[in-house]
Amino acid sequence: MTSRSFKGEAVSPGIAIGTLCWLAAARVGDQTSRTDVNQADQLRAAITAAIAQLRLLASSLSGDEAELIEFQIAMLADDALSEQAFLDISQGMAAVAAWQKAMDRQIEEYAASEDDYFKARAADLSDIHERVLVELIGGDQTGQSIPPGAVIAAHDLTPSRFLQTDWDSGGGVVLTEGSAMSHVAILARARGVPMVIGVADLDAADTGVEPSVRIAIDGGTGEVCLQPDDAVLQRFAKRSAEQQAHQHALGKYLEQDAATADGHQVDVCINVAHESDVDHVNVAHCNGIGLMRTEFLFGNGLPDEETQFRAYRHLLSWAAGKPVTIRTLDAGGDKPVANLTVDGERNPFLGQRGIRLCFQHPDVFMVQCRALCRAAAHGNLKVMFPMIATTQEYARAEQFVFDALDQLRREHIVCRRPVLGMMVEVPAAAICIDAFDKPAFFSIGSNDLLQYLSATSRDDPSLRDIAEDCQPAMLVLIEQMMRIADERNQEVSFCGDLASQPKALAPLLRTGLRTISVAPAKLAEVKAAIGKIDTVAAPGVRGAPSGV
Amino acid sequence: MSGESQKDVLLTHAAGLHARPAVTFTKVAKSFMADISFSADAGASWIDAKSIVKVMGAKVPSGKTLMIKANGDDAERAVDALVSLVQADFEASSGELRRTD
Repeated sequence: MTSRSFKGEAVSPGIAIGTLCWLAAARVGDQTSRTDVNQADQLRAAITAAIAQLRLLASSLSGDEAELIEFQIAMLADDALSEQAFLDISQGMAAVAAWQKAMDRQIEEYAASEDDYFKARAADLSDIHERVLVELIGGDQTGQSIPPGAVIAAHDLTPSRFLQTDWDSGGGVVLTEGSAMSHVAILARARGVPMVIGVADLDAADTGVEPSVRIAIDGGTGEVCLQPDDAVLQRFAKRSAEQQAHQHALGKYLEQDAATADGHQVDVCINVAHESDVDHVNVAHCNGIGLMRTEFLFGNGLPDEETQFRAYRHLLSWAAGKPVTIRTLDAGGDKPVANLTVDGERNPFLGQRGIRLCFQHPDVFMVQCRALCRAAAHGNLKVMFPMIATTQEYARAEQFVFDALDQLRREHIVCRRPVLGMMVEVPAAAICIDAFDKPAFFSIGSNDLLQYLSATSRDDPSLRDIAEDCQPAMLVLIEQMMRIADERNQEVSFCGDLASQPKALAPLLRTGLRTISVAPAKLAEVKAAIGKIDTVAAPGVRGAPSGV
Repeated sequence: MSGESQKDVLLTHAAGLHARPAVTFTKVAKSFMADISFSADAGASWIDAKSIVKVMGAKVPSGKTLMIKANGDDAERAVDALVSLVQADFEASSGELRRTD
């Protein structure tokens, strides 16, 4: 057959060239349930078995993939899902028919939704539907065996089928329908499997007869080509080579310490909020954790000492000796915590937040300090206090840590004094940084610092230009900080969003900053960007904020 | 703190009350003893906050104000916890849509 080209929606980047393999529907046994066993019991057993299978599957996954399966488990475990089916069964319907009827109706409701997101959830329900159905009447949900490196073609693909496929030898996915918001699209991106959807005119009838049809797909452009000729193959191969070179280059940056073009090493650490944030990060690719935000531990109420201790220790183990900097509870402002933060403040960003709030709730703060001091015995722990405005506040916060250590020692609980420092985000502290001789380190929280300096709210996009134009003011403060900290051997690092923006990095590095902390996903990009920066100052890089 | 409690909260999460937030929402709801329900429209029916199927089925888009009510011993704590969760953008667990600061 001759070469044919199609255009679909690019959903997961990458090039895949291989044998086209149409996916058969899951093989399901004959369509009636056993009549000798109570129908309701059969359905209950099938649902229970399906949940057990999903739990097993989830245990081998982590992060987003595990969460998608957790979602399926939660749906299956909810009585509301099978309510109608059990009702019909009690009226005499057979289990299979009742289950199919109940699920078809719910799947239809989602598929009919105008919201693309909810429409895509129909695929998750189909997945659950199929799994339980197979339990009820036998069959095999994994379907046919797929040759390694093949490009799977189907109408749509369930998350289960995707997860059960071995992608290690390459391969890709092309769907005649599908949705960019589907869970399987997320899975494909996470695994780096090229995927194109919406290729409506790709028809099994066209290709079904041929013993082996070759197909090339470009998950970055949406291009699909059946029986590609040499010209097409060359083009795809070139794109593939370019992408691989790019990935390889990024990979090289990841594996080495970052260094500027003029040879200064820059430590690049990561920002995390939850234990699982480090699951997919190789500790060798970064210089440690520059910021752990602890308020997310408090999302479901106040966690006890043990819960906190375990979370902190998990990160310290992962870091294997590299520094882990944990910020004490920074609630308030735009981060409410039940039973802790104040409701109805007129200016929450200027209100009872950060360390101030901890002073208002000394019992809560003490629990955190105890957990931190216990964790400190298990690794390289640095602790910093947020929103410090005065040296008195710093001394008071420090005292909590000393008191926690006293308590723990009296109780004969293993503990150690972590290295202590502070966030620099309140302008008064930044300007009078000279007075702060106790902290071992400073971490510049540019997100809040820039808000306060430019008197703009981060939440208002129309004010972003003003904030950006005020960066020179922040740079002045940073330069001052670098001079003073250098004399006193205090470390200075930077953990705001700006560090993840290559454009903003150059002026930051030129102040002398040599430690930054970024989102894990940005590691490669930031390290690569650092490599292109020359820290010898370009003329005119500093200036007063415009409009003064 | 027994009895009834009701509060309103604006749902700002980018994709509305979808899968991941819904799982977190129902998990938090289930940790309380009170009966908890919510409604996204005045006059619309109240939806059981502990049922993922019902919460998802409500298909609540971003920008809606959720009315959350609870009835039982820990009603007030339950409502406060859910309101906090929605305000914190469901960041009780990690995920793609994380606010940075």
